Amino acid sequence: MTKEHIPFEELEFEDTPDPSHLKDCEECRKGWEIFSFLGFQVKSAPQVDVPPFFSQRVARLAETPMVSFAALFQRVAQQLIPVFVAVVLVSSFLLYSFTEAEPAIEDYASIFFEEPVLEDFSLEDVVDSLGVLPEEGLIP
Amino acid sequence: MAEAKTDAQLVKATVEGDPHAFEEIVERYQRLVFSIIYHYMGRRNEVEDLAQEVFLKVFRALNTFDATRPLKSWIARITANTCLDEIRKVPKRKVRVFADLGGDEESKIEYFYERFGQQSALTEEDVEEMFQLLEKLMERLNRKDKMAFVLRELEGLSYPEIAQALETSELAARIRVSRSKRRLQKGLEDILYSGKKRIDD
Repeated sequence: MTKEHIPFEELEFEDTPDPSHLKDCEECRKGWEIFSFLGFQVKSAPQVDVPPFFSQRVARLAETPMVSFAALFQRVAQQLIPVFVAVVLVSSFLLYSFTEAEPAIEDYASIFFEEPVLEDFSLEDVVDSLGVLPEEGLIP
Repeated sequence: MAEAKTDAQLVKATVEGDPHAFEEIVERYQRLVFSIIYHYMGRRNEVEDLAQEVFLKVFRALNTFDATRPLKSWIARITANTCLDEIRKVPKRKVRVFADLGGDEESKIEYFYERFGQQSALTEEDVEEMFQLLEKLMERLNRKDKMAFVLRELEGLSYPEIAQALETSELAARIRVSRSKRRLQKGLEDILYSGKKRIDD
């Protein structure tokens, strides 16, 4: 008789331990009965049926686009990223071109104030303009 | 007859946008997924929803799948993680000890044990009831031990497959399964031995 007890936890449910040991060892015989019962419970476990058209339904569901917030955010971000990059590029180009040729102090003034136009006129022009005064009688 | 495509071919075709390829993947592994969920969760009514969740996760992650590894273990892993997450969502239940099983449940176990000894045939209802009792016994196990036990003994996965599914080593998978067996056997012994003692008394 083997003195060591059977380590049932190391056995598969299909295994059969040494029958001579089982015959002589009461403890292992009892253990074997219970182990076999456990195996019987496991092997008798019922199965669950897959409902009809499950695979088609899941495949169709998987194909439909995600409508979660994360997906929406991702989609919007994908569309906005090129626009954002373009804005950054254009603005940095414009900034660069303005800062490249810095205007002189007097040029700044010309941006805001229109330069006065100086016309040439003579004394005769002044006298002529006086000649077009309104007639005396008409003066109030 | 057209030759069946390999898993790797189906994965590639799905990633490239073939809608029928994914349907074939689901067809191939739906039984495994349903079975793991049912045997782990023990409730029929939530199996379909969870199975659907599993396959949608599979679909979304297919482009990250390493085609050199077996698809079966990868799908089993996603199923196991989905079940473990689902269990985590439920407020922690009091760990059931065998002594907590009701008197009726213990009597039922004794009844089935006798039927087993007499090798009498079981009805479909008996089978269902016996599984519910086994499920209650398994509730005492650590969650990952229970999953390893289900994958090994109820789904027949190999130890390397269980190791991949639970993201652990093969040795750790073996330890989890044998620890589960030891605890279940001890629990049954306690019930059946105390029952017999009660009868003797």
